[in-house]
Amino acid sequence: MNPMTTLDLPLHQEYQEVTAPNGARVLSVRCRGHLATIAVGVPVGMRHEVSPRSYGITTLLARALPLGTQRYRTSAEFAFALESFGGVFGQGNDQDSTQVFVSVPAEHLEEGILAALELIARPRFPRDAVAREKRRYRGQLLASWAIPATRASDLLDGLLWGNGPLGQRAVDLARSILHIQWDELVAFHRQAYGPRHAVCVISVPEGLERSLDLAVRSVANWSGGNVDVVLPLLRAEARVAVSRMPSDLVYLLLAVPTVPRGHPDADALNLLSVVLGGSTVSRLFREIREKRGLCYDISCRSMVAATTGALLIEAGVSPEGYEEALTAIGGELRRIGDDVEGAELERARTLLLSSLAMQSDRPETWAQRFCRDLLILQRPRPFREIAEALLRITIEELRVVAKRYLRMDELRVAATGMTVSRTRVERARMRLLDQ
Amino acid sequence: MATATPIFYALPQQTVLDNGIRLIHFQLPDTFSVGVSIGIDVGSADEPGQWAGIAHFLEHLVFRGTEHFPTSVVIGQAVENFGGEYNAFTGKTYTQFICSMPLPYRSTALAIVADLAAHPLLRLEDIEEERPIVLREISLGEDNSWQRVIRALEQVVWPETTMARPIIGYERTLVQITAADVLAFWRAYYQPRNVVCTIAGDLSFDEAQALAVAVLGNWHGEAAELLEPSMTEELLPRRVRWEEMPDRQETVFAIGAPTPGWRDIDHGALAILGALLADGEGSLFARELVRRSGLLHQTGMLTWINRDKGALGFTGAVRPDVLLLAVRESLRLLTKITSAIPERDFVRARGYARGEVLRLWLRPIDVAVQLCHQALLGSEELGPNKELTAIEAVLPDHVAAMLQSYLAPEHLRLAVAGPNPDLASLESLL
Repeated sequence: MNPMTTLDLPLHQEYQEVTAPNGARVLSVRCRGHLATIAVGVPVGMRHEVSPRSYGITTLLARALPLGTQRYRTSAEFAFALESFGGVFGQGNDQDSTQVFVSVPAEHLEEGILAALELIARPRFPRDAVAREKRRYRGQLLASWAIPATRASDLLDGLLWGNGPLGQRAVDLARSILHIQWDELVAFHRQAYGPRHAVCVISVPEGLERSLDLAVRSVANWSGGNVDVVLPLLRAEARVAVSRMPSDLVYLLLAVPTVPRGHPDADALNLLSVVLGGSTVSRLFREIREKRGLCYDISCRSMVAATTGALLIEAGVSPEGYEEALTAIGGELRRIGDDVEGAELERARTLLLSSLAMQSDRPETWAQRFCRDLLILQRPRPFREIAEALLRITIEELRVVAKRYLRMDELRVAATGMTVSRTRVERARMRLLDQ
Repeated sequence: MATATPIFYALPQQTVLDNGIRLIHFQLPDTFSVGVSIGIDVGSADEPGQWAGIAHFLEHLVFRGTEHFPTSVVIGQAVENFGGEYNAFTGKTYTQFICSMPLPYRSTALAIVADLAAHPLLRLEDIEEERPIVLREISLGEDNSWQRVIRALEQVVWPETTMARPIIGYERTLVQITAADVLAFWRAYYQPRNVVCTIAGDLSFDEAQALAVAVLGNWHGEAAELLEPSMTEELLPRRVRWEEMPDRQETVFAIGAPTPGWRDIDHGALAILGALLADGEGSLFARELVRRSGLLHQTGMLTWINRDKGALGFTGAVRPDVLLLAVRESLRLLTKITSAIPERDFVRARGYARGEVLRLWLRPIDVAVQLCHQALLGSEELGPNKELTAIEAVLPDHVAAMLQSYLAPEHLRLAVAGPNPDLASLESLL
């Protein structure tokens, strides 16, 4: 019996949800402690960048949000207002969405909600500040391209998502954002950031109803943003990308495309990622690090987004041993569909459930999770549902899912380093296909 | 006007076990997990020079197998079969082994970290198998400009001392360390009298004490002579140090100065000083150098207060061609804030520092780590209340005095990691 089934997991979650008259969905969830977290998001991310001229616009826009709002004219004013009573804030975007979060002492909840909505609904985009932010973003893109580990990650994105907005290399984005004009940025925000599909999630230690009330009143005068954009996913044909650059290690990143969030196989893939590389007794950790001494760290994770998904493996390996590492990793991917064991499944289940339960000790965990759920799944996915789904999966299902997705013909390999050779990487990959 | 957060935390409770282990407990109601830490009062600054890196190497080696958990797989399974997470880290003056687990499995959590510290097997094959992994970790650090600049700053703020040595050591020393060396180091330092055990979670002090006695009570030390820390490397004083990374498109720099050790520092003033200078979006460097002038890609504070020595500084990441300008502007702003701290800035910084305390003392594992940290460095009073009280007591004059004293121009040192800088001009700025 899985230890998690006998534990008092925090399965009962108290939350309330309402839809504001302008369409914004608001949810409040109880957390422990004395901090409140507000997460506000809109379902606009990198995959909504329609033309190559606008690649990078959603990231630039997200970065420009805190530069000044209608109420707080500059970034300094905004920061002062929040930080003076111990609040912090941040923002970010990904393939599917843009989110802001604010964390405040619970007694400053109302100020926190107003601040979060100011950021996303009422940014001012001061011209000079936006121009400087564009230069800063560009500088950081060029810097990341010069780092072996991050370049490998860029190359892998290209192999997975093709030449579209999701597969852009940092060096190309650094060029494309130069073309983005201020008017275009403002227009994009006006068109795409509206309450109709927006989400506001608040985690508070008490006063769920009051939080909902405050949030609904705060979103009331937010309007606009009625553009729905659906883009086809670009396919990528190449399977290998290699870049020679000075480095003490070879950075090896592998991936297979999988399924989007909400797909019936998504939970099984999450479990597989833990069995493969999500712990110190995982297959890859034991084989590549402990047994062969080829790396300091190796990890595997399952990435699921609204329309895409991938199983990703990442390792910094010895310059002489990258072919051996690649072959060994491929070997583990091949055999797991045949020989993954019940004990491995149980351990993976236990780790995922326990990790989520332990993360619940942080007040921001469920604000961020529910925000993402609402943006992508259009509903919250509470702990009980996650636990039941994970506990239902059998070893047979796990093997079927492994064989379905961990296919060598779909394996992408990106590698950067001083010693890395494209020919040798291709050869190692072909050997995996032939086996 | 910032409002004061009421102080409502429970107080940590502590005792000393019969074998000399200091136990510290902190109750966190309504938490799912328990956090435990075993801290050993030894770090890289305590190493003999020919064994540079041995403290960190030992930290790795204990995970290869112990008396009750004879292989790394058995250790991992013991933790992960019950949904736990574990880790360890080595600092300049202490080493911690930590575990977080669902509360009902607290005795397993403590038993594992205790066995790591008290009964590691340290077999010859463990040493030979783990050595290449630590060498890979060194290589990983070589590729990381932040780690390189930290290494460089340590060398200029603490020259000619073992504090300047990288915690991970050097390849040349690591390849020579033998099993006998590791065993000798372990015997010298991993003794109950050098151990702090912290337990945080939804359990009472009595429960924690009973648990600690049951698990740790039979750990009896041996009399072993401490080893003499020494230097074999030459780290002569200089004001600027450069880590060459010619192919990078970003230069990382750090400006810092030595400070007194943990017991001699006003921690409240230090927290506010950090928030004033470079912590948070409203800090001086963030709003002036990142946002207003666009000189820096990012900035942050470095606060390294160790047992006997500390260092204080700030960092910046810039385009390589504007490094000189960025350093000049940073120093100009530092001079300006040292001469006068606007009240608005002080109020913001104090609020920010307070918020950081609230965020840190939440999760059991974070609390266990922080308590261990405080205890090993020599705090007389432990826990978040002390930190909040210290922040409330600070006046702008205290922060100004700290700036004038620690970050006076004659104390400042510079570390740079990136492509070829104009070192002569940088030296002249200091």
